[in-house]
Amino acid sequence: MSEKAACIRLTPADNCAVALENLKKGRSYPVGNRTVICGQDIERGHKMALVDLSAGDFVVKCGYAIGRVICPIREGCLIHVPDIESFTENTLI
Amino acid sequence: MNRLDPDRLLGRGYSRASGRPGIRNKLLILYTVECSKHVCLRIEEQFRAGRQVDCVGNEACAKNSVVLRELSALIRHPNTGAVLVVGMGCEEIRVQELLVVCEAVGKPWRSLQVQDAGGTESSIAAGIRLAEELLSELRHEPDIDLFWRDLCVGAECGSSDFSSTIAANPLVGAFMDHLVAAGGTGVISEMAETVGLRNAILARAVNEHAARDLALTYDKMLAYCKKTGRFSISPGNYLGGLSTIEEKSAGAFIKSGHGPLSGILKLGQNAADSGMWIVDEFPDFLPSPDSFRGGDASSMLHLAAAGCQLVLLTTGRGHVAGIPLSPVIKITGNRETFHRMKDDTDFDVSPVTEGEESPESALQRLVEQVCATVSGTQTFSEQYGVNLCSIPFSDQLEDRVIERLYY
Repeated sequence: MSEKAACIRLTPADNCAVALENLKKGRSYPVGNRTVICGQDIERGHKMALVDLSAGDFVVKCGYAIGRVICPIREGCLIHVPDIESFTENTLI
Repeated sequence: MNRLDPDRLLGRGYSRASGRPGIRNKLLILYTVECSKHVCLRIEEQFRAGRQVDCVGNEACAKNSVVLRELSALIRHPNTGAVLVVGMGCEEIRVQELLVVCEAVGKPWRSLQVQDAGGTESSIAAGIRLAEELLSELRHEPDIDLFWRDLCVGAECGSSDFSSTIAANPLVGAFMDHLVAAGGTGVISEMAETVGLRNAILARAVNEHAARDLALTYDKMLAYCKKTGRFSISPGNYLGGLSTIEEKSAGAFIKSGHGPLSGILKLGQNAADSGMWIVDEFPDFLPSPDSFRGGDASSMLHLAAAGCQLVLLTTGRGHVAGIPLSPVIKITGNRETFHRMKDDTDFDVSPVTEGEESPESALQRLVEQVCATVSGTQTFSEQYGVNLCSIPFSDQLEDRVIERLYY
């Protein structure tokens, strides 16, 4: 198999990638057929934004919407609480 | 990987008067209330070395149809060969009610009540004698060939992290798709870990009936989670990189594979037909906050109550859970976890996470490990005799109320 990837986008629909190792700020990482410049140190297992995300956008991982963005997240930066939230927990119905 | 060969002989099992054959032949000790639990645990302890005696029961001095169904289901379980029921004497659930089930499924049984037997030490001594009698009545040699169509396999995830989504849960999902294609049956529980996936679930319903059941169950689950404020995401999940319950759900649901969903099983309902099923672990009566514990061992006990002869448990951060009757194969995609939790982790799928092995190759390894377990190789949970569960529903309900509310 090919050389180990530092991060992985699980489906083509995803707008985030999962770090398979600790990602370093300023380094560029290949994701699919492009590269993304890492905007901050990101721990293994956490998610990196592949596009600029605005409040109200949905984060998509494994092809599923997994959270709603609360405050802007720049491409290459960490996606995690408290910058995203559940869109199911807090609805009335 | 090629499809599983439906004619492959997996090993030898134990035929039952009805239902699937067992891959183990165990003596099950059941307590009807927490007052008789101590005696049961002491009897079980006596036989620990043989690893053929398991103990579980009902804790609360309360009766409802869910508890009765689950206790009955464990008596009916394919891996149960004989049953010793130990009651207190004054509790809500009567020993006799369970003996009726033992008779109906044609399994050897004995019973005792602590208040009749003379108290703690006398009951333990009497229980050990009865257990010895039952063990001598158990068939010692397996008597029937096992094929994939004979297997009902449960899947559960616990202490998930990012590797669960990347490697361990997709591995189990692929296994389930192949198992069902070969005529076998898969079951998952943890409806509480499908939050946010309503449309994705309904899209996989095998027919309209299944779609209706899945929708009703999803909506009931979400209402319960909101009412109690309990969503199944923990600090360990956040540390592992998971941000929301929806993200955890997306990873957890992969365990069910990609094929059609046959529908919903109520607690204690047997997965009689081949297919991929989901256990509805929320009672239909208005549950007290205590009704749903959401622990991984309790969830796996629900899988056993659905008739699963073995359970695949995926974990990211490591797990130690085991249940009575059904061997648990613990799987991790996190290499650090595999080495740190070597005492407990049966299967390492981290080569897939690390890009060193193809998912197909890992699936082939898992198939062989399942076959070995079916053939009698003990998992860590069996070796240690780990049992972290009891039946969690403590609501006291009149039967006729239950019948009205249950369906």
